[in-house]
Amino acid sequence: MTFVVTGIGAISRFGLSPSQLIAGLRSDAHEPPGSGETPGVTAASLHGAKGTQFMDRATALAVYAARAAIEEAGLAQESSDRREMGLVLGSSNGSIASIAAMTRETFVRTPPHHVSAMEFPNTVMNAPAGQCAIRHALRGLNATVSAGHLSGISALQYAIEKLTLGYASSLLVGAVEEYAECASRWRTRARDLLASRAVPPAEGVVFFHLEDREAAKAAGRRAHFEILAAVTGFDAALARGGETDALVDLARECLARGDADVADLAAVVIADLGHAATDRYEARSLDALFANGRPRILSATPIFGDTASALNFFQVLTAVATLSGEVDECLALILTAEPGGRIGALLIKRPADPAREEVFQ
Amino acid sequence: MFVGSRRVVISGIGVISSIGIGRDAFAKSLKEGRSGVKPVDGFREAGFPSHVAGQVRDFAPDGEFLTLDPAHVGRSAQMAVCATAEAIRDAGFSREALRKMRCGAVFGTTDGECQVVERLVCNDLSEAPEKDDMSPLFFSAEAIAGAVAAEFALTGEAIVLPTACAAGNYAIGHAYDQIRSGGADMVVCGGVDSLSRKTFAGFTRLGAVAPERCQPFDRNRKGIIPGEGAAALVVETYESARARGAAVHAEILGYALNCDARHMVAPDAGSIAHCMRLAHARAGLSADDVDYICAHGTGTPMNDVVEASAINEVFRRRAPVSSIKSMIGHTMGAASALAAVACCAALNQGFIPPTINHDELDPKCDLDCVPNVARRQSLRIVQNNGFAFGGNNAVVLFGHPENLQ
Repeated sequence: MTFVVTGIGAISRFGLSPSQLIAGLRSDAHEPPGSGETPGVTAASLHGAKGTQFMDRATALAVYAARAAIEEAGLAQESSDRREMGLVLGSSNGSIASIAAMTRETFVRTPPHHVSAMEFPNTVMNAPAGQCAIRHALRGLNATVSAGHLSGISALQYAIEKLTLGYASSLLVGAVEEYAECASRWRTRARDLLASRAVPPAEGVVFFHLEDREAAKAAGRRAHFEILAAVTGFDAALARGGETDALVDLARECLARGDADVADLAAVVIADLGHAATDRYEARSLDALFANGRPRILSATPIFGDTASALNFFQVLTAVATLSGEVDECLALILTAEPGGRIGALLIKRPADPAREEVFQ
Repeated sequence: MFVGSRRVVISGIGVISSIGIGRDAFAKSLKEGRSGVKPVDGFREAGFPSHVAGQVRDFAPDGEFLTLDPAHVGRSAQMAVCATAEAIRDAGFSREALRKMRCGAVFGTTDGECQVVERLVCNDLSEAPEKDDMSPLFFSAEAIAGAVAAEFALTGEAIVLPTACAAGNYAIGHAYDQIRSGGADMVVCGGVDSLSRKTFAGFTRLGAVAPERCQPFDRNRKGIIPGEGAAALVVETYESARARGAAVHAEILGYALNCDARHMVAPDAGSIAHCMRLAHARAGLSADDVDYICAHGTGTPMNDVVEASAINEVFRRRAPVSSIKSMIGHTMGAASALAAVACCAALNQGFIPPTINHDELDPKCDLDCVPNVARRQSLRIVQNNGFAFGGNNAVVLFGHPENLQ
């Protein structure tokens, strides 16, 4: 089975649509990323004032981008396809702002359980995925995958496996990170503890509608790109700041699963998180993989800031934007190493079909 | 990707619970119908109206940590690492052997490292905050699987599935898929949660916490008793377990996930019934094949009625149904993983864990809930229910190992 992306939704520093994101990436004039919430984006601005009084930020972002991906795939109308559709969301903690705020309430309120009953459901980590299901009537499998900066590739790996094994006919797969003042402070302190480069904590969300290529063709849904393989692993040496070839091996395995070779790659998008250990690790892996000539190497964090759980999806869209300048069928590889020890690789192919780019115009 | 008919088994078990540390102590307590519910230090003074929980009291992580410093991970990771250490010993793996294989770590949770978040929040509230606190490095939920992978130098996928109170079953199901698809040689999976002040407060606010005891399916049940704990399961192919001479605790026959997509906290009987039917279909079974159901059985007035009506919709034959939450409270993301261990014990030792604290059956929960005393009964196939906020449902089916060949 080959899996294709037939719908995309995204909120990024460049705007509320994938086309704005792609346009922003293509323009060389963009400012360095800032920290904080995406300007002008609130639950009410995205969904109207009604029913959003108690909606947390991660949910607001996820519900919006999930709907955009559904609509772009032409599945806005309720149908049998929709009822069986599942959702897999990469998210390390759901709404960490909600969790921290309610935890704080229990320490400052007397009695401690006088917390907001309406906001309690926002503090379970699967709240954004559950709310997406409620708002878009998605009754298929519904999973949240927490893997730090590898949450995106891990969610796609999970989704591809579930589609292959027949648990769903199509899946919305995404990743979300909300900007939270508390987590921003904690993540900045973590960077200090790791003696890392300062990178602004940022937010964003991306959703893909992922399905089998033949099913998409039969339904007349056009593919933006194919996801050929997604592989994640762990390197305990990296977790201790050491260097091994584990990411090189993982990248080769990913290429082999996609029946491709390093020489076929038009671009590679690394994470470039700004930690000395992971940056060195990614650079060393590139040296080992591309001893005989390099494709274009891009990195996501310097463009988007530290988008944490959403990082991998922004890497994918960076690759898509780069490949959209090509005429022929071409491949790109996503590579990520995070300081906790997780590593991952993902291979995408842009088909040689000019119709695919309409969404980005 | 290999998608074959490999049989997938549980060959190692590790447990941290309020009724016993270790697989055997836990199983013995289940058989005896012991309660692990006790007052939580400081909760009465803090003003919580109900202040008992299934707290793990006699847990010392140090002995199992050979690589990491247990002070540099959260309590949930400590419990996950210690449960994993027991599970891999039980499965007959050395740490060295694991490094030569592709082993994944998949844990479910509701509240992740909630006690680390509590520490960070208190530090932020403090007038003299601690500057060199390491907590910012491990407050995030994924750190649980990261700690397990780092401690045992695993090389496969290391993820947390934070799908609230069904998360343990999600992890077991995913491990089963990873072995079937050839994505891993072995996966250590399970669930873990530390007692969360936030979740204790939230359930209290919803009026869902019982004052003294958890009484699933009882006419006078008053709600959940929050709890904590961890269970780790080693999952691999039957062939690889047999080649090592490891004892098989159970075969995983199949599972299903679905979503109510109606309400964040109120469960939906029709959707839960559909999830059970999907699980039976995926395992190639019918409801008549199931000898025992380890219920989600939270003990809240609404949840138990919904689960009972879903069971009675799907099951024509009256299979016994019990809830171990009556003994250990609601251990959140660990709940269905600990329940899976109970299923393994039930299959291997021929007993059904009781629903303790039972006075009188609620006529709206028309079930054989195995009241108060464990029942001797040999079982061939058992079903483990896990349901969660967000409408996330997960049902897993386990088979007796003697059926393997």
